[in-house]
Amino acid sequence: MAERGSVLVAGGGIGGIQAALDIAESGYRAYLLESAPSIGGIMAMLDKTFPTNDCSMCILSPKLVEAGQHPNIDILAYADLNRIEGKPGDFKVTVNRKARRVDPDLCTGCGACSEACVLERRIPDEFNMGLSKRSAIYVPFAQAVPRLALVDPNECLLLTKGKCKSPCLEACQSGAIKFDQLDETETLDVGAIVIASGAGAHDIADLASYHPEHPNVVSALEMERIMCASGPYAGRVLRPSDGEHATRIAFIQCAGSRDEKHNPYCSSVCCTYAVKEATVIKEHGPEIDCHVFHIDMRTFGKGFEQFRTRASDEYGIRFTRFKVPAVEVAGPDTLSIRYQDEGGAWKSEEYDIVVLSVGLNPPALDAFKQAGVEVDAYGFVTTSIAAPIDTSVAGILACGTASGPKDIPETVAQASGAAARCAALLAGARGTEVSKKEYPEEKELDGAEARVGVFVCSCGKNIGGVVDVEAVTEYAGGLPGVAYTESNMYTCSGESCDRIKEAIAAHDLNRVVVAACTPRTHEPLFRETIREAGLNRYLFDLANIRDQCSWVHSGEPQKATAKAKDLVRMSVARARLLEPLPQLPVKVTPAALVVGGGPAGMAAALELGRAGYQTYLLEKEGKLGGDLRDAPSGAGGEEFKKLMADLDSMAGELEKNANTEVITGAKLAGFSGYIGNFNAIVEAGGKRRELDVGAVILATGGTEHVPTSYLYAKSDRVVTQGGLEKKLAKGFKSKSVVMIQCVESREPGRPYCSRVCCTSALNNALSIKAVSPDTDVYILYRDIMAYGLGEDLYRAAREAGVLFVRYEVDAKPEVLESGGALRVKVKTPQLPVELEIEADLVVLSAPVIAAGDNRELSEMMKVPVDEHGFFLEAHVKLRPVDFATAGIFLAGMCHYPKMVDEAISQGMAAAGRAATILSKEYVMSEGAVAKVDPRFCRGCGECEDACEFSAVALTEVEAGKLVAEVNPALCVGCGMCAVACWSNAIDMENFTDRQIEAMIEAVRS
Amino acid sequence: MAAADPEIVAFTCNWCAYAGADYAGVSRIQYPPNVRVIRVMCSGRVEPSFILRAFEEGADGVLVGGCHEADCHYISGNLKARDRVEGTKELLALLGLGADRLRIKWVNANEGEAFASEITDFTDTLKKLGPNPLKKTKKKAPAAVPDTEEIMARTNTYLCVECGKCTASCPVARRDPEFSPRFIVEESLEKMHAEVETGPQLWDCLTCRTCEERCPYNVRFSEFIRDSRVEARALGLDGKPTQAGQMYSWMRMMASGGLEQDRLAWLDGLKTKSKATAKSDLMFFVGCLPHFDVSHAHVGSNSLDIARDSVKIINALGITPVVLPDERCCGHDLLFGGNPAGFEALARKNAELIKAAGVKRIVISCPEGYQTLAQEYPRVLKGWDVEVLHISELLAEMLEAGKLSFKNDLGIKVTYQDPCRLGRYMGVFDAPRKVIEALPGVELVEMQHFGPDAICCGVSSWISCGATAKSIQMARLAEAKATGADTLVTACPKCQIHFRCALSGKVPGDRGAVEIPVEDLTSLVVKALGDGARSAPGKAATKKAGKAKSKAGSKS
Repeated sequence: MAERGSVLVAGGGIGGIQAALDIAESGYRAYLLESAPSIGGIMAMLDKTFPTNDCSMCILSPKLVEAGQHPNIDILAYADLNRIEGKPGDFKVTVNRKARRVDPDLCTGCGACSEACVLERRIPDEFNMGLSKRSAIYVPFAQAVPRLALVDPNECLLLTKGKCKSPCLEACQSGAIKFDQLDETETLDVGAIVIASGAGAHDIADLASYHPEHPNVVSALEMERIMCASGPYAGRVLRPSDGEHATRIAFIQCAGSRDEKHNPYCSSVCCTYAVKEATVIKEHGPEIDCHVFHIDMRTFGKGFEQFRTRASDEYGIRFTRFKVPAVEVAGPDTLSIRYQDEGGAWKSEEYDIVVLSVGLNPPALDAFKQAGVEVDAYGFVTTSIAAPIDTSVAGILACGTASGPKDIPETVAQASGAAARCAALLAGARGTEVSKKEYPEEKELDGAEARVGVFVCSCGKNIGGVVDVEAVTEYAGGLPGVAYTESNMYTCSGESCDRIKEAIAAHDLNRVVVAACTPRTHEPLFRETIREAGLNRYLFDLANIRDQCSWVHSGEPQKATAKAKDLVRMSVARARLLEPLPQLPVKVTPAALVVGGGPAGMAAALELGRAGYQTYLLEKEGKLGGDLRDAPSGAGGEEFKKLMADLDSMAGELEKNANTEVITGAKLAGFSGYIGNFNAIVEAGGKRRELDVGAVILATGGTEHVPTSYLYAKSDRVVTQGGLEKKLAKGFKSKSVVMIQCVESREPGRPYCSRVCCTSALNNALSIKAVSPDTDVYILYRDIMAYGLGEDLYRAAREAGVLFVRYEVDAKPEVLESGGALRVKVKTPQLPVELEIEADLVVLSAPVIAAGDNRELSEMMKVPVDEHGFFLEAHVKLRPVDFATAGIFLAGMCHYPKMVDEAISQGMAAAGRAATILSKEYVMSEGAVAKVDPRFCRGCGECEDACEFSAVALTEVEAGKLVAEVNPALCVGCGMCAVACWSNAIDMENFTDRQIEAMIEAVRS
Repeated sequence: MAAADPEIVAFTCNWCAYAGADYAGVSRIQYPPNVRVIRVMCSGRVEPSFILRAFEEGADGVLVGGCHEADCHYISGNLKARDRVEGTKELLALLGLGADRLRIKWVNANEGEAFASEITDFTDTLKKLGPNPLKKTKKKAPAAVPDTEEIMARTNTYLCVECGKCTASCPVARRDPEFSPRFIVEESLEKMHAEVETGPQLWDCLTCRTCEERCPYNVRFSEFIRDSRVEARALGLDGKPTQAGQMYSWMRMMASGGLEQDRLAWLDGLKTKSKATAKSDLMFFVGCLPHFDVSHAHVGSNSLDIARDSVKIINALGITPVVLPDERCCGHDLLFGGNPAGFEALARKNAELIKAAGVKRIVISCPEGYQTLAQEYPRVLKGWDVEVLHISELLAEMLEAGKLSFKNDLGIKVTYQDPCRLGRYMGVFDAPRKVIEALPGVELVEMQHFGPDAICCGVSSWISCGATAKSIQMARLAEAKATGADTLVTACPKCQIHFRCALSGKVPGDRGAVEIPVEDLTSLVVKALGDGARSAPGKAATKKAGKAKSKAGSKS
């Protein structure tokens, strides 16, 4: 049996969704399995995301919709994985589809059943962490995908007691409720499996000394729901006990993490999410006091340290370094915490809410363990540094928190990386299981007058119960340009969509308006419907008479009906002016260029080569490996030796693979083109070469900053961690080593944390102790950023006798040299006296800085860098390896300092994202793009400046004449250029000036 | 919508604000049923003209809804929207509709409550503000289509002998081979008046009258074009106005009654009055200068400097001019933009106000306003007998009378751009030159084309500002530069905007060959007058100087 062209993605959180989308976009079928009734996972429950405080649902819900509508993603929600059998390339998985007791083909997710339920608002709502109530039949949350109701079998009176009049049955106009539905077992044949099970939040019930039973002791996830505008308190920060406004809130960090009695590891995300929650609370009410109790504040990610600094300096959030042992109950609505401040004084304060910043628990992996997937001592999937996405079983991959604590962008990157690994493993089966739809030829309009068909939906009683649907339908019939009208019970049902198609044919309709619900969920369905009837997709408009009429004006049916008429009139006015828009195929060159031959670049090139795409890997030095190639062979433990061996074997495979070409001593000298069609000029060995590629990955790495303080370069016994590694390789004799962390970083001028230096210091300290146990090793630190499973390393270093001395940024250590002896003076907040340490060697943990070529590449390729010279991704959370410019990606240290496994994950992620382009013969441009009328173009360049996506550029069409040109392959249709154009030479297709003006004119009859 | 409730038009972005409205729906949060949502992909798509248009159509309030600051799906569209809304608020304040009728609100996909409460709150505010004074109750009657035959007879078009001199002299035809005044006329003649040439070319004519200077048979081509545009508009073949027509919107709004404009903030400290007295019956007609400083801030328009300098000059002559708080647009652009009904409405409004103020003489710094008040108002207004002067004529008159003396030596070489309306329309070529030459230390050098041969600044009535316009501007600026002058002096706020705009963006070829400071005549005069006649630039000018801060009522 040949390998299968499909993948099972187990877990429908953001990691699983991203993996499924990338897999489906690169030529494979994805089965997205989720145990809960809707996909979305924890991210759907978050209010905001750090460090930008983006609205979580705003950025997630388009992904939910996209996954829900993707022709090559089958969402198996409310289903559990039972068993995995078979072998890589050909697994047989058995899943149990739990009975929703609702027919998915009939249910429209309208929610009428919920409102009718006898137990309406009586059952704790999981989505709101039990802080609000739902019915026994319910839709999990407003943006749920699939948007289907389900019956809670443990609560439904009919199912549990056999007694209920079941008003839901009557409320459901489409007859979707099926109480006799049973669980079903299904078997899927897939080529690979991605574990995206995600970690669970630690249960606060486990933390007895914090009084988790008190209503005002909440988990951080409960706090997310409390803060969220769509949460139980509509975004007001209230005490759960009595609904009063909270004014004093404490956060207890490491609740259940970094604790041998619970989870010994660090959960990575809690420090920054606590800063986020405190900041958002301050935005809700600046008078609310927020007090964060912590051990280290581990703000090691891009922008995190600055975020934390703003929290204390601008928002006045208090931070106290103290691990709270117990919370005391001060009253029915208040709690108190006794703590010792930095000066040693004991204090006690009262709080309205205590937030427990709980960490992440390992996921349930039973079915995978049975299939042989190894897990570590904590229960996370075991991976290695060089293969951070591979499990111990070939063909089974893992992304996100399944293999250890991670934040959203790391999870998303690994998800894209998993897609790359699938493409590499199943290269031979690409395209075998995807569906390709055939459409009838598009009808030519030839300037024919508009003949609009208007279909008015009752949505059961959702619209019809308030709006007089018949009156609206009749009214629509009298509007200019309308040739046909009808009303439907559910316009989105299969039957009604067929009627739309029939009406288009029977009445020669050339524009369609549906008056129903929101275009955000339903426009794709109706566009598809009219396309099936031979009309261009863009000849469609939706009037939202549900979300904007019946549901929000239910007490004023007459006004709601009048408004519905207005909305239909506005829609028709726009629809008459809609024009068919072609989606142009943009040919793709199935080759890639990877710039930078460090671990990230190597991983990216290798996965693309394995997947069958011609890939050029450019390295400016003589050989691959980046800065790691200088690492001494004697340094580091077994894990490091394995990594070096793995990198050697990767380099070997890159040399051998027929699809990959390594070009060393090479430099990018010129760059032009756009998605699918880039042209790069490469200089190597004094020769120039032109490469045509469809996608580009930048992995140019970072470099160690050369310190200017602590006698560096003045004394040969002051070295950086990099310098120490070279010394370690030669044998080691020092009696006393002092390491200083955060050298010239995490302070004004270079405010970011370099993420890797604490781990380097811990590793090197352990290496010293391994070869010379008697050497005294001191680490002078501010916060030890041993995040995630790196906490083990921190513990090991302490066990090995490494001494840790904390200092504050405003009292930095001093390094003095006199008479050939080095002395380090340091003031630690815990001790009244200054310490003075004799040192043979001072090791500076210098920050990672961006490579100098980033700025040059930034200008050449028109991709942005941040203020520190690191490349700026398209979106911090959900597009971590994309640039805003389509077809160009980034990976590794050039984005931000990171560990080797993280850089490799990003390299694979960039490969996965690139594969979504390279796997296609053509990418289709968006139809609704900006359009330039060259007659009116003044060549001033305002549009170029306004476009964030490099989609508009001035071209000298003839001597002395600059004209803007839009590249439809890059245009995202925002319309920014159209507004920026003073002379109105640019219009935005599908939202043209005339169309919008027509709607404005139609507001009043 | 029922007229009793305040009517709100909301432009919302697809990703956050529209989603927030959806969330209000899903959560069944109730709010007043008087908002009509227009979905756009990004709040950055909302042209100021859309907002003005909504008010023109009778909306009582406009809400722009976008993503929270860091959330924009398109990175920075919401921030651009915010800047434009701020600019548009300034326009609404000027117009007297009030900035409070426009709001921008960040709403995220979870904030159904925020959307609903914003509508509720806005509704309350609008109830307090009362209805939009522009609210129309009846649809306007379709404009009467003019009689082509009459236009042709009146404009001497029948006399055309098809010699082609017009086309040969036309600045547009020189750059756009498809444009030909000769063919436009010929085609009209051949069609035997059935239908004028209504293609886009009708809107490309600058109505600069260069052809008329040359035509041996006195065909009044500009007038023919002007009036034919009325027919074109009636047939739905409109021209392409700049900035999506926002200037036209405010001009049309000013033609309506009920506005209590707030357009005199720039006067601060200058001596003016609101009624004529026995001592002085002279009025300074401001025109659209305050509005230009919003709509064209991006090019560093600083149009109000011209207004301030004009009043300073008038004050320096010992005169306290009348400046009317409720003055309207003169109507020039509506007239040349094919909307004579709108023009006439403005003319009547202005005439009423001017008459009521007892004004007998008007000074104006804008040649378009000058030509309109001097030539077009008498044509449509019975009993319009007000004397109209361009500021350069007043200055020349005062110089002659020895009533003006200058203090400062400017030490500068300048060249002078003849505005079409001042020169070829009104025949005022000498007055500005006399003024320039009277300024101490100012040397005037002429460009290759000057006086009746001068070349237009490239755009008229905010229409067809495209590739041809830019090319004309570049050529004209190169001519100015070639004279060796330090500064290009114009006597028209619009010429100044057009030249500054041409230089504000990218230019093809060598920038050094075209880059030259552009200044208004009044500014030069004030510099020469010295002694506090030129105080520090006013608030509006400093606030909007430079492109970076452009709010532009509008764009950036």
